Amino acid sequence: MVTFGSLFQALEVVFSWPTLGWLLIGTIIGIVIGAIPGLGPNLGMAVLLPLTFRLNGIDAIIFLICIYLGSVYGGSVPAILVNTPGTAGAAATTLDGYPMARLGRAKEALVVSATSSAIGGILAGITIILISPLLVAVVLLFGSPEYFLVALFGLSLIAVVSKGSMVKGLTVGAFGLLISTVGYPIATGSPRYTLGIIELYDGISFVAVLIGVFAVGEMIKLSAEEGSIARENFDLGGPIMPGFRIVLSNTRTLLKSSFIGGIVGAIPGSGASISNFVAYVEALRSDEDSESYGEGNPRGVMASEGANNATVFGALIPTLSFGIPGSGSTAILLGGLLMHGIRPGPALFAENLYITHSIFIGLLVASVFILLVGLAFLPRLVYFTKIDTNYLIPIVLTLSIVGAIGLRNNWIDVLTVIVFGIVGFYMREFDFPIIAFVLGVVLGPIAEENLVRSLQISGGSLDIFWSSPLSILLILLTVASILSPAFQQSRGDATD
Amino acid sequence: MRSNADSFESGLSRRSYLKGAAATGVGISLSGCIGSLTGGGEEFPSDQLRGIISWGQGGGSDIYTRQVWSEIAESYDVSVAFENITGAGGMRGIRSIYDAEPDGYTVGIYNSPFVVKMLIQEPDFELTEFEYIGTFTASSWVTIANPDLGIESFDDLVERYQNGDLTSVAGQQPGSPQHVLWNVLKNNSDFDISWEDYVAYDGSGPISQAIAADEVPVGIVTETAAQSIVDSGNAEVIASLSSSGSSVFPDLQPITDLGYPNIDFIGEFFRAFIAPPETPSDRIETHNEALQDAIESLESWSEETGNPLSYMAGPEETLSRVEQSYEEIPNAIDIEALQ
Amino acid sequence: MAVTDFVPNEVRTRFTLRHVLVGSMIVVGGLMLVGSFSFVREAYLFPRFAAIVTIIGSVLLLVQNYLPERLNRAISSSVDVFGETEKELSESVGSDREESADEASSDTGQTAPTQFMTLLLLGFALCSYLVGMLWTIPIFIATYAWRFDITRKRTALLALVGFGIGLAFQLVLDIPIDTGLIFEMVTSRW
Repeated sequence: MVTFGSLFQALEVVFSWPTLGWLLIGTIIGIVIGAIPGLGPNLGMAVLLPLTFRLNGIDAIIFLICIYLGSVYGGSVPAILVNTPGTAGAAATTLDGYPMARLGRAKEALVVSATSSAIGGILAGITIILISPLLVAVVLLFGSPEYFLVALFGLSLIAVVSKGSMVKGLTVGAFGLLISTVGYPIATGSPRYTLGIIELYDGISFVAVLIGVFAVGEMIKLSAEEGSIARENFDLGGPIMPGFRIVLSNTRTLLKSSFIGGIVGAIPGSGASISNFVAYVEALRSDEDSESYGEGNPRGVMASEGANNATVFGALIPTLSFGIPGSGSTAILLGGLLMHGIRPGPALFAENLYITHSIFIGLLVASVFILLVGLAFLPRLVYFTKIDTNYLIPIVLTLSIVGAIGLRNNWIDVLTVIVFGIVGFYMREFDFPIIAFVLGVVLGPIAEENLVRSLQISGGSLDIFWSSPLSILLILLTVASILSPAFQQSRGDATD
Repeated sequence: MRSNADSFESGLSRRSYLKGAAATGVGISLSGCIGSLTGGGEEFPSDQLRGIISWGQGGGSDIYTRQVWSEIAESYDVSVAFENITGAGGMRGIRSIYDAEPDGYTVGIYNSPFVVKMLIQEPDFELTEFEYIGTFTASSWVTIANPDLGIESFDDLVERYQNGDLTSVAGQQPGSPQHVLWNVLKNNSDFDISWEDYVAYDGSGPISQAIAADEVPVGIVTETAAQSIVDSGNAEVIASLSSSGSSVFPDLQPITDLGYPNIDFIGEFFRAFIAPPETPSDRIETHNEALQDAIESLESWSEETGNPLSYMAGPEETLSRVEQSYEEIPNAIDIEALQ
Repeated sequence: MAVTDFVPNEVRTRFTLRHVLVGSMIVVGGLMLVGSFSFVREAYLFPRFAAIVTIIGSVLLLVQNYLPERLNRAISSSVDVFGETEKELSESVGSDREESADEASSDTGQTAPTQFMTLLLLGFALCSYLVGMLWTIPIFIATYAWRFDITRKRTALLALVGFGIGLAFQLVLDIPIDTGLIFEMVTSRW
C-alpha cells in the first residue's frame, strides 16, 4: 500500500538542509508558544505564516506543522508545573500532571509527558502512513449524525467523571453547554444572548474558559497557602528514568490514547481540545486504579499527552485529502499550503505523495526532537514548583489574563478568564466535577451544530441517528460509558 | 526551488523587519493623533502602514492583504503592520477601519458578501462612507453535486428539484452569501428552483465533505473552495452563478449563458481594499496606483499559488458595485427574518 | 458533608458561598431560559434543554440539605462509584486542609486570601478596561504584593516582569493593550 519510492524521496527532503533546520526551529518555537497561555498553535502559526512567504513550499509547511506539533506538546509544561494549560489540548494534562507536581513529582510528570507525546505522535504517524490510501473513505463515513453521536459520547463521559455526585456533574455539565450557546448558532442568522455586544457575537471562547477554570482558579486557591507548589521536598537533579519506565510499562494506555487522538483529530471541528479529555476519561474509566486519577496518576498525563500529539497527525488527513481543515490550526496550515501553491486533494496521495510523506516524516522527526528536548532541557523547569507561590501567582495570573486578550483580541475573553477563574475556584471548593463543566463547554457547539443539522437533513426524524453501522456503534459506546460507573461498582462489589 | 541561502536570508530580513514594525506599534495609540497633525505637508507615505484584516489568519482575505500590502509597502519603502481583528462576521474589523484615523496610513480589506452582514447587523455607519482603493480579485459561486447523482447540467439540476427528486441544498449560516443565493434562486420566478430545505454548514470545507459523503446532494461554494473536492472526483461542479464564468473551471457554463438572469450582485464574490471615510483623495489615488503596480509585479505569485489577482475596478466603480449589492440584496431576501 | 460538620463556623461561610454559586447558576439558567423563548426552533432547542437541566440540578443541590436523609443521599451520590461519599470528599478536600486552617486564622485581621483574590481580579478587569491592561499590570502586582507582604525590592521586580509580559504581547501581537476607555475618551475629544 505504501509507495516506498515516495517515502525515500520524502526522507531525502526532510533530512536536507535547510528543511531540517526549519523543522527544528519550528518545533522549538512551537514548544515555547505552546507553553505560554493564550499563545496557542493558531496564534503562533498565524503570526509566523507571513514569514513563510519566501520559503519554498515544503520548508514552509514543515515549519508550520512543526510549530503546531511543538505547541501541542509545549502546552503540557505549564499544565504540569502551574496548572495552567498552555493550549486547550493540554487541559486534561493538568488533572494529574499538576497533582504530581504538588507531590514533588513534577520532573517525572514532565518526562512522562514528553515521552508519551513523542511516542503517541509516532504511533499515530506510522499508522497513518501505512493506511493512508484508506483514509479518505474513513473520513467520508462521518456525517453530521455521526459527529453528533461522537459529541454525545464525549458528553456521556460526564457520568464517568462525576464520581460521587451525578447531580453535580450533570448540573455543571449542562451549565457548560448553556455557556457554549452564546453567539451565532449555525442554523439561524441571529445571534443568541449577546445583549447587543458585538464582542459576544462569536460566543464565549472555550480556551478562555479553560485558562480561567484551571490557571486562574488554581492561583486563587494557592493564594491561601504558604510555601511552594511542590509540597514535598525533592531533588532537582533527580533521574529521568522513572518517568520513562512508567510510559514503557503502560503501553496499552499509550496505544489507546494515540488511537483516540488520531481518530478525534480526523473529525472536523474537534481537535486536541477534545481528544485529550476523551483519552483521559477513557484511561480513567478502564483503569483498575481509577480512584487515583486526579491525584497524580502518571497514566492520566500519559493519556492526555499521548492523545493530543496524535491529534495533529489525524487532523492532517481531511486537510490534505479534501482541503477540509478540522481545526483552527489546520485552517491556517491550509492557508499556508494554498499560499505556496500546494493544493490539497487526491494528487497529494498520488503523484505528489512525497509531499504528504515529507510532512508526516517531518512530524515523526519532530516528535523525536520533542523527546530529546523534553528529556534533556525541560525537566530543569521543575525549579518553578519550588518557588514560593507568592511570587508565582501574580506572574501566572498576568500571563493568563494577557494571554486571554491575545486569543482573539477581544475583551470578552479577559472577562471570561477572570469570571470563570472565580467560578472554577468555587466549583472545585464545593466539589463540583470541573471536567464535567469543561466537557459541556468544549463539546456543546459540536453537539448542537450537528444535532440541529442532522434534524434538518432528516426533516426532524430521529431515525437518522441509527441509520448507519457507525452510528449504531457510537450509540453502543455511549450507552456503555453511561452505564460503566454502575458496572464498575458491581464489579468492585464482587471483588471486595 | 529557490536557493537555500536566499530563503534563509529573506527569512532573517523578514524577521528583523517584523521586529521593527512591532516596535513602532507600541506608539500607535499615543502618536496616532499627533501623526495626523504633523504629517500634513510631508511626502506620503513616510510612516508605517497598518493593514486591518477583518477575517481569520490563513483565509483568502488574509493571504491577499498580507501579500499585496507587503509588496505595496516595499514600493513605498515603509513598513507595514497587519492586524487581524476578527469577529461578528468581520464587523469588528470593518468597524475599526471605520474608526481609524483617515490619514491614509490605515487600510483594510473588504469582501463583497459582507454587505449582508451590514444589512442584518445595521451598525451606525454605512459601507458607502468608506473610501475604496480598488477591486483586485473576483471569483464566482458555483454549485457542486455528488457525482453519483449524475446531474448533467444546471437545467437538469433545476428540473430535479422541480419534480421533487431533490429537496435540500447545503450552504453556510443564514445570512451568508450562499443563503442569499439560495433565496434568490428559490424566489426569482426565472429560476424557480424549489429547493426547500437549506442545510447550514460551518464553512466551505464541511459543505464539500457533506456533498462527497452524500449527506446533502447539492451545495453552493466558491470556485476556489470547490477545486480540491472536485479534483478528487468526490464532487462535480454543475454551474457558475456568476455571468463571467469561472477561472478555476474554464469549461464551466455561467448560468447567464443558459438564459437565466444575471445575479452578479451576489453571484460574484469580489474583494477590494478600503480606507477609513474621509481619507484624502490624493492618498487614495497614491494607493490605487501602487495597487495596480503591485498586482503586476505579483503576477508570478498569483500564478504559482493559484490565488487569482487582477486589477478589476477603481475607487468609483468599486463603490458603485457595493451600492448595487446594497440595493438589490434586500429585494431578494427577507432581512428582518435574519435579525 | 461529614467533613464540614466538625467546624460549624466554616460550615456557615462555606454554605453561603455555595449558595451564591448554585444560585448564580439558577439565575443565569433562568435568564437564558427566558431568553430562549425569543428564538426560532433550531436555535432554542439546545439552550432551553441545557437551561432546564441546569436549573433543575441547581435547585436540587440547593435544597438537598432540607430533604429527607435518603433523598439527600440519592442526590449527592446517585451513582456511587466507590461506595462511600465521605471518602471521596475527604480526598478532594484533603489537600486543602492546611489551607482551611489558613483561612480560619486570617479571619482575625484581613479578608481571606481567596476572597481578596476574587476582588483583586475583578478590579484588574475594571481597571484594564478603564486605563489599559499594560498599565494595570504593575498596579495589580503591587496590590497583590502589599496584601501578601512581599518586600519592596521583589515587588518592583515582579511588577517589572509583569509589565514585560504585557509589553511583549503588545509588541508581538500588535494588540493595543496600552489604552483604555479613559484615554479613548480624552483623545476623541481632541
